[in-house]
Amino acid sequence: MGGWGISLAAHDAGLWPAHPGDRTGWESLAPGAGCSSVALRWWIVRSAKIVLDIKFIRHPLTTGTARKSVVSNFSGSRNDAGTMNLHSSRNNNIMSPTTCRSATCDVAYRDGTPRLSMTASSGRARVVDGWGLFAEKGTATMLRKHTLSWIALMALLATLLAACGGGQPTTGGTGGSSGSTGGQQQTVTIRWRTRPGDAAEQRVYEELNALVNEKLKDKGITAVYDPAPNQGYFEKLKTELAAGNAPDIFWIGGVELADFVNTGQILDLKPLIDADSSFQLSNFYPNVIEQLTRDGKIYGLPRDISTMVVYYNEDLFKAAGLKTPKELAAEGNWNWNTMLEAARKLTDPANQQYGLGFGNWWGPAWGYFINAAGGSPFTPDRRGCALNTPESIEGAKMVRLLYDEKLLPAGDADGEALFNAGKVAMYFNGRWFTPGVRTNAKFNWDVAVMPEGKVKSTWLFWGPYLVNAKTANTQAAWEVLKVLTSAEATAKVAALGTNIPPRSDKAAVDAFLASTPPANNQAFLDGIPYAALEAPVWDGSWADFSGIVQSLWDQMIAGQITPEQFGQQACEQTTSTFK
Amino acid sequence: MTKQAPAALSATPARRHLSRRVRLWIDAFGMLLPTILGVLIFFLVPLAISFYLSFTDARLFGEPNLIGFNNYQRALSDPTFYRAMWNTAAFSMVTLVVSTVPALALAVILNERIAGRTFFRAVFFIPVVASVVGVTLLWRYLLNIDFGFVNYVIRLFGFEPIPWLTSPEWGLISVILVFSWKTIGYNMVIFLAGLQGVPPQLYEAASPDGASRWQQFLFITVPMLSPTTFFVLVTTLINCLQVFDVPVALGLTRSNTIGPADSMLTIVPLLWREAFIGGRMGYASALAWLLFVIILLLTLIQFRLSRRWVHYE
Repeated sequence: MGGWGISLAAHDAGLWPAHPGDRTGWESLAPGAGCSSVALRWWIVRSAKIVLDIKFIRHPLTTGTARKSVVSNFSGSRNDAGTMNLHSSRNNNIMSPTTCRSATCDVAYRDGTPRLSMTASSGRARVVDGWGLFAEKGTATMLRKHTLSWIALMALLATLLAACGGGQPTTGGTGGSSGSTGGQQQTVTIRWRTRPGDAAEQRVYEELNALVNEKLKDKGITAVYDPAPNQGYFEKLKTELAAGNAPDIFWIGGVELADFVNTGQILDLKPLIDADSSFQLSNFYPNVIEQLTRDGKIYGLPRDISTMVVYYNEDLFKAAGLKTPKELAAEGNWNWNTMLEAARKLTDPANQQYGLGFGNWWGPAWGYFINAAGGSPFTPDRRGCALNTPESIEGAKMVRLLYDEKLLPAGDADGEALFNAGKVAMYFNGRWFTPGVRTNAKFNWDVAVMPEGKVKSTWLFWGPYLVNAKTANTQAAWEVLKVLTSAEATAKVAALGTNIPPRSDKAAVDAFLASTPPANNQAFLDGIPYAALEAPVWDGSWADFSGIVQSLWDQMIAGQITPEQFGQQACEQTTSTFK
Repeated sequence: MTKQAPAALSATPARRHLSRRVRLWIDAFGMLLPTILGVLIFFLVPLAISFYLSFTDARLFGEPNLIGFNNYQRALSDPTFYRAMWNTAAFSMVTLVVSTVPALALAVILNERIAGRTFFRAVFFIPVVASVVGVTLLWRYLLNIDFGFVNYVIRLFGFEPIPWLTSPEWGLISVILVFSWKTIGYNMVIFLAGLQGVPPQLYEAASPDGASRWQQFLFITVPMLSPTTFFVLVTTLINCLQVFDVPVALGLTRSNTIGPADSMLTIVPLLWREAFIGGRMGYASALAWLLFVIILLLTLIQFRLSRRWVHYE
């Protein structure tokens, strides 16, 4: 038992009073109590005094008077055999006042024989009527109570760090660009970053880095590739920008652009482009460059683009004797009606097979459908919400119909796995889905352009490389950026199958078209001219806008609100997200 | 004694005594210094900064301006804040029961001398050790409406599959499920430790008196465990109010909503979203301090209530 050893150790260490004298009872024994455990405890001091310290505990639920009367009074005495007898007798009072103070009953006993404790503690202590529950009393309780409070307080304070804890700058990599002046030759290091989705993609970017270094060796420029994981990519980037140790060049998604530019984090490339006769801006798709342009300034160059297409399971279409989307598109008869018809015929609940599928997010869901219905999430100047127009609401109604008829699986990414498993006949997705289908699909598949709604439409994703405004050597960063967005480099990335080159020159396009399957790669390019682009919201916050809209959209497809209510509430609630 | 001694004699021992105390103080402080510095730099200073920021319009970039109580007023008039508060409250109340009662039951069972109890203790503790994000992603598969194992079993019994992760109604329930699954093992271990502190003599004394196993549990185990139970309740409640990783790993979408129609949005994910997606550091700091006040109040109430039912020996 803990009590023995600790008390004796305390004595040996000289902490225990050598002559306790008349100090009896538990108060005088406090020093050992802090280390004790829950038990009937016996205290041994030099004078071989033994104190049995008992506390009556009543069960908290037995507060009624009937229960109180059950508790017996309690006293201790020593018998001649050297063991201890505890006597109790029925009493309507809680405790006998002669032997107990309040709820604590102290039975002090002196004896020279330690064995006493063992016999007395091993169950002979009986309460005749009802339940007597014992435990020792001492300062241990208090100490434990305080410890507990401190733990609680500390855990509590840790909450507050959730606000600023994430804000601790993550140190890593080299701090910004560092121009190290060697003896004879000056070399400049340019650090750049993307967000590779897997090891294969990261390898391609590492190869790209080698390409940059090979091309720019003569100019004394060294590129360092510094990939960052998908999770927390933007937190990391923004924190590093705020702390001043972000990479010189980094990739972001197109919709994020305004956030970065409006806070002055991004270098205007216009002077560098104008001064560089070897660079042709017209090689890039103009509608993407337009999004990167603001007040005559050009903030970045596109790394890649991707339109949405229909991935379809050819075997399912053949088995059902239906024309494939590609065939329908060739006939000029690929629209929402024929899509709906095919989706209904290919949906088989018994077999858990769906005719259609797309992720529940802005691109394939409300972005595409609302644009294809002739509406738009935004007013033309992108300074206001247009989800409440009749056209936009038509788009929402169409999607509500698809969910109501259970023609597609719910959820965001679920459909991808189901398509690969052959359980979804048509799936709307971007180019990034291609490598996964190549690896996983055990059936014939191809792609086609998105079906025509009221108008032809698809959704176009793009992501630019931006140059950090704080970069130490803008010219060197420009040289690296030029190589990264060159036809050669973008063709290399396109060959992986994940991206479409952002440029229309032949070398890049041919590399993309050659990356098969799917055979019909052209479908990705066909949508570019009429696609609705992901675009920054310069006079507002895309993040706030899309969050509110998505939340209402979820309620709409779940049937909690109507498409009309969706449009109205979305425009009401997003007013504050525009400046 | 010192009063009677001459001043010249008493001065030397006094100074020596003082210098020894000073030395002791320096030694002690020197040893504490790394911890003090750590707490200061990584805890108290950020704490103070966040308190200051909560009264400013601080964004991720640029200089903050003092705006008084605007952030707090804004929170109290923000429907999203109330939604997150409601979700957090509902989540915490249910989780407090769901993650403690089964934990106590498991602890009592695994405190018995049954075959393979070490193995089962380890099994139930594994979720605690496993990475939250990893296992939550696994749960995303398990709870998937089309190919999830849970729904597979539900279908076997002839019921309609449950849209755990895809409907606004079920989102929060899924968070409770996964969070409790992770927390039960931890609470179980705490209860086990508490159970092993209950002296066997009490049961030995009670059984000759004719107490049944259930009565022994009710009148010996439960009261003797009350400090442990209190600890478990306090820490579980605080962890519930601060829940972040499970709802985010389970429900984060590309639009940074948490679960369908923000149904899994609790207060700390909202705080994170405001800070790092919306870039509103000042507002997020105000949310953090509001949460602090709420947790403080609830914890104080718990401590106050505990006087009625917690028995310290």
